Amino acid sequence: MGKILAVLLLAVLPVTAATITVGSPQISSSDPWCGS
Amino acid sequence: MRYQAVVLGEEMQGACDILSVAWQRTTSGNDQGHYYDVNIYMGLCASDQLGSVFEDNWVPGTKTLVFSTDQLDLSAGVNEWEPITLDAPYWYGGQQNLLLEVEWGSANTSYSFYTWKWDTGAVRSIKAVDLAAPSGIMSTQMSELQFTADLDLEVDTFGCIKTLFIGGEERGE
Repeated sequence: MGKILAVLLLAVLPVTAATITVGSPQISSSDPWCGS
Repeated sequence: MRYQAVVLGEEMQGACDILSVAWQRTTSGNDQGHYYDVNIYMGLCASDQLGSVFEDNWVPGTKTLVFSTDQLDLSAGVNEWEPITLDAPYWYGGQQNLLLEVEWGSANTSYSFYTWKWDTGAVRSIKAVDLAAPSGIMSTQMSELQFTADLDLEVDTFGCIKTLFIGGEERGE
């Protein structure tokens, strides 16, 4: 029973896609892509 | 250009596979930029602040090449995020600080692709114009970054499931 439950749980718990944004408030232009 | 920035563990959302990293274009500069011999590395950093020596900021053995190309063309409208899809997902364990390093050998100087940064209040980025420079200029300001990721199960969640599994085995189920 435990084995079945474990398999079912792993099957129904999806990997969650996320967007993680780091940094605020924005203050000015920056490296690393300035190009100069 | 050699650039490092550290993202604190608390700024991430736990363990995940990082699929891409993006920079947000500002209101100035050009809507495109072109860079050559680009490498991006990810790994771990033991400190919340960076020292001036690039290699010293990595937790030994964690520096991983996640993106490499001969030519990178960036293009975005004002305030749009420009993602760079990693060559392969980078597994982030969810606990320590994430260290990011961007290197490029040269750029088309006709274009400047400016991206937003923010003031972190601590030394969290270093940069050197010379790609071969062992150390860089320290700054409390670092790029705003956006990661796309597949979040993993919490460790304790997986532990509970494993316990169920083992419990069933022990009971002969």
